[in-house]
Amino acid sequence: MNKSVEPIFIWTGYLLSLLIYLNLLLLGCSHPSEKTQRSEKENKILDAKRLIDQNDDERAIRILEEMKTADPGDHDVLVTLASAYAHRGQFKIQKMIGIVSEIVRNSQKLERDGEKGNDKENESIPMARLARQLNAFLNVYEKIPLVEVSQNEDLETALLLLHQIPPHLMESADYLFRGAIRLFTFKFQMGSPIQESGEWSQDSCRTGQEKLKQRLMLAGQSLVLVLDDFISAAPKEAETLNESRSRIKESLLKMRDSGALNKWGVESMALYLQFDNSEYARALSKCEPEKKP
Amino acid sequence: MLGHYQSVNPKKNLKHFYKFPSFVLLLYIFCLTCSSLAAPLTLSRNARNSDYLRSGLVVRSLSYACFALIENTDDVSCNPTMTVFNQESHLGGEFLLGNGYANVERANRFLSSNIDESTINDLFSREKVLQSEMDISLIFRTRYFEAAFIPSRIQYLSAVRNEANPDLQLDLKKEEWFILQGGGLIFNGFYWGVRFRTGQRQFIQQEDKLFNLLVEQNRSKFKPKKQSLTLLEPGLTFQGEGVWSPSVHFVLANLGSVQGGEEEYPNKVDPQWGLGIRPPLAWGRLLFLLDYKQLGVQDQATIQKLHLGISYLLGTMTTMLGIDSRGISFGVFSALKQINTGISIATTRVSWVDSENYTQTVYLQLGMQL
Repeated sequence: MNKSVEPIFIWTGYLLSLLIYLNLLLLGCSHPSEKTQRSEKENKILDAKRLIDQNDDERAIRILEEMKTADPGDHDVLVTLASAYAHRGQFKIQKMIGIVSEIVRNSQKLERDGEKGNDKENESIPMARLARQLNAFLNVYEKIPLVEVSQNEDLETALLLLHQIPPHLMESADYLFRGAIRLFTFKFQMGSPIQESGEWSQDSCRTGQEKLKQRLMLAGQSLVLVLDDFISAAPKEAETLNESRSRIKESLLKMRDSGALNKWGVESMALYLQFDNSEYARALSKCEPEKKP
Repeated sequence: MLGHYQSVNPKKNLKHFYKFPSFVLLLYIFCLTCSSLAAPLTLSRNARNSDYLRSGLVVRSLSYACFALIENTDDVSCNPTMTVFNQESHLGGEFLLGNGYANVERANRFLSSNIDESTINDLFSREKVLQSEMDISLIFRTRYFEAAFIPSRIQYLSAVRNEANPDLQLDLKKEEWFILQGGGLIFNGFYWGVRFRTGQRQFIQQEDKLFNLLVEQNRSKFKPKKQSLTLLEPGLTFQGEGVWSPSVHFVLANLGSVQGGEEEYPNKVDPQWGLGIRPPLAWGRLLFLLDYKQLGVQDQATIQKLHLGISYLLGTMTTMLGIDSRGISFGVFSALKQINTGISIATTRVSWVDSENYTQTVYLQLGMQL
């Protein structure tokens, strides 16, 4: 019996061997699918993303900077390089999710309050509504982490890189990414300490007020840019954002034309914004108002 | 036919094993392992998930190299012609779970509701790659005929890369299947078989920037889609006689009609081949299987369609090894008369390569038979 079946065995064995040899000959051990399915650029970008996840931002930046030198206008390279710098600047999606959740929670609360207000229109007080809006803003503002100077520099670099992408190549996700980074730089502009001026004199009061005003103008402009990015990402959903942007722009123009901040302006900053320079603002609020000539 | 393997004295024929060019097999295993490093276009994948086939733990452990498999007591035969070799009648149920229930529940939430902040939060709550699977099946097997009803099969895989500006990959499937298959002898070692299967799947298969999910209008891309399938798949087997019991198999898979979801799961008729040999051993039964079949939509290259399986049965316990371009799997399956259990481990990782892009899955299966 064995003799009669041996040719079948040999035939099957050699058929199998032939198939395997052909595979080895054709494909070898050279990662065929990696070569054929993904380009070298895609591989390098994926490697850089893995390095970012491993907190090895330096290596990721090195790889991506080399790629940027070779092809300065490449969308994927610019976005990934921006994300590497942003990551080094402590920008992480986990932190963003907390902020987004807070925005959603507060907008829903404001909507609910608005509906209640409509029911009792006569009782609605504009100041109460303003206080609710400020409170909502502060809830969100608190969730944004305050980065250090060097981290803010990385975030600014990330923003510069994203600005190098031609507008026609910008996608919704890119606008949102840029807007989200700007939220961090906005907090930095509002929250980083203004140098104390020691004893307040009339001159130092004026300089201090000017400094505070410039800081607020800068932060306000950042906020407008944040809203610009969010509006560009989702133009159809941006009705409320458009209104907010118009109001902030209007306030900025008024502030620019109003000269030095008056006592009320400084006090309101100290009372409502309560940002990390509130002590500075409170001290400033004790300055005597300038007498008009 | 199984009797042929048992009727010969294995000790007398051990010398044949050394005649077989086994070094080629080792080289083949090495090269398949090399190619498993080649990551596909996706961020990550499971070593033993198939877009086209569903199976129990045994077939999974063998990297879907199963056309020549007869000792498959946890599922219907993956080759319809092999129904001819069923020895006894069985009616039973199987429950397979991969990587725990929590992710299965998460997959259900994705499929049943819109994506919101809490589901996005979920993606970042644990590891960068999350995966899970659940398969419930009712199976009837007798000689020449098998039937199966799979009321629920859920597969979940999510991967995120780059925590500053994340890329998100989501691959979810929920399926229901009804399968009928049978076969018979044509003449002298040639057998025919045919499988009819009908089912539907609900799925989400997307890869995108996570920031896009924050915009309401982009979330529609992540809404579940539906696909209905009705397939009739004929098969042919040549079963040689003798100590090594060589067999050659052919199945024309995915022949039939499909409605919906063809962009993600195109229904391509796939001519599949399989070879099997059973080298004689003094103890137990050894089976080498080599199948050529497409498991995933992206598996286009020849080497991605080759799957090698080795099964060793001793007493009531089967040990299985599967190797293909997707990775390596190892399983142990024990079948008593009325109850069977099994465990299988599948990985896309190769020990000598420092790669972050890998997944590991532990499957557990429990089955009862009347």
